[in-house]
Amino acid sequence: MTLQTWHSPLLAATAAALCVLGLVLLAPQPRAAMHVALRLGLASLVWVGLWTLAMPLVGVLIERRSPDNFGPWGILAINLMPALGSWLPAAILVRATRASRRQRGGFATLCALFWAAGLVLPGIGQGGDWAAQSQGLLACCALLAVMLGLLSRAGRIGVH
Amino acid sequence: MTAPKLAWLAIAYVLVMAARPVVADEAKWVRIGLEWSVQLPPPQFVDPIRVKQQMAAGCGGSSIKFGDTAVMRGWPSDITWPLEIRKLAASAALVDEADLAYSLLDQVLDRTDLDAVQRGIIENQLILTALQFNDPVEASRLLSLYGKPTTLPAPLTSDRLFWEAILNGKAASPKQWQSELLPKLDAAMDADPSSFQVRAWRVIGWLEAEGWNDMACGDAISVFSKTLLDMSDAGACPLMISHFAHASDLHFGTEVHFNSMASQAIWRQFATALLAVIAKDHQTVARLRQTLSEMSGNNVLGQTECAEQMAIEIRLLEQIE
Repeated sequence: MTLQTWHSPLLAATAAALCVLGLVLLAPQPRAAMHVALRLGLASLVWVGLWTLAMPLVGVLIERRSPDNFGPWGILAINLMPALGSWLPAAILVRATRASRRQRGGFATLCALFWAAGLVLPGIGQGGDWAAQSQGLLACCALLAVMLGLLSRAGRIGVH
Repeated sequence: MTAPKLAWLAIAYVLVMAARPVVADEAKWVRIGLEWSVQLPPPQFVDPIRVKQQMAAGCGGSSIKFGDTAVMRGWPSDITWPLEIRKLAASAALVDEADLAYSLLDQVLDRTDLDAVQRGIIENQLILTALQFNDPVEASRLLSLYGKPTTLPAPLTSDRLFWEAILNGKAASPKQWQSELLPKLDAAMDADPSSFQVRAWRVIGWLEAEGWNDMACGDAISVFSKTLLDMSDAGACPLMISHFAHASDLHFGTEVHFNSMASQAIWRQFATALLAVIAKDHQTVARLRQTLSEMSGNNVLGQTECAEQMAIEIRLLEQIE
């Protein structure tokens, strides 16, 4: 399976959901794990939904400026703007509804990464080209997904 | 590995990736999924600025001349000839027997009052006469005899280089064309940029050398189009195009559509299409672009990728006003 195949959003989301389900079933407390997994899935949906809505707004900001005026950093920053802007509400949502009981180490992080792979990954990569900026954006999204997972855990981040 | 380490790794990766330059001239924004990216203009291998300049220049004002010898191209402008020499040279040009023509020009060369330039001119006239009488053996002998002394003026040297190339070209392999004859033609053009025949034969020579075999399609189109544009510097004239088409058909023996060498046929079609663009012959351009598109779908030709790229190039050039 190539990365391009993942650009079928429904297939990617289904695969992500199956991976998350597998993680939940392997968890010592599947019920609580399902709770966390679903909240992370919802947060990821909010993230991608708001990101999609923000894209035309970014387009309005940049359409009159020639790409020649932006270096590679500028182009990456332009793409990080909606990514970060839409991630913040998702992070607040996840933090506000965090689990009352602590989850084991990497579960939430892995869940968040799977959801990001299923929901965010199909939207980036420029149709399979994976230019340098896309790779940079992918790395940032992976980082944001990890942070989303950490935020979903109870207590202070990094304590457990 | 802990999360902070992962984060630092990710940040380092982003820094490295983003530092790579990707933006080119005339790029534009395009949205693909959740990303705004830069769409680069399609690569163009034919110089559009040069094409535009030639289209604007039209049919006049070029320093390139149509003539078999430097003298016929108006060089040198200030030379004078004694009446007797003019009579002998004129007679040599008019007679129908090769030996008599050679003898008349030999009489001129026997004179002691010729300066170096005049002698060079008459020698070249003698070589041309041999070629006109379809006597390549004599022409080759004369070329070897006279050589290319360093004192010979550049336009006369250009003619000799040109004749050497076309005489040796008849039995030359593509490799020989590439390694020996094309450099000779390039040197001839450098020696006398005003010679149209040299420019036209550089195009034919490139086709003979099968230049497309040694490089990628885009590079081959770039090199070939430069050679073609060197020729069409002569002016966007129907006369220029017919000169080239005639010389090309004469040389290759058949009309392009019936050429048995299919990959060469593609390049000849492209040459005619590019010249038609410069001459603003829109109907011919559209027809040839269509032909190239059809050729690109024909795998038998072995140059499908090139034909496709050529059709794209021609379409881009058609947008020039």
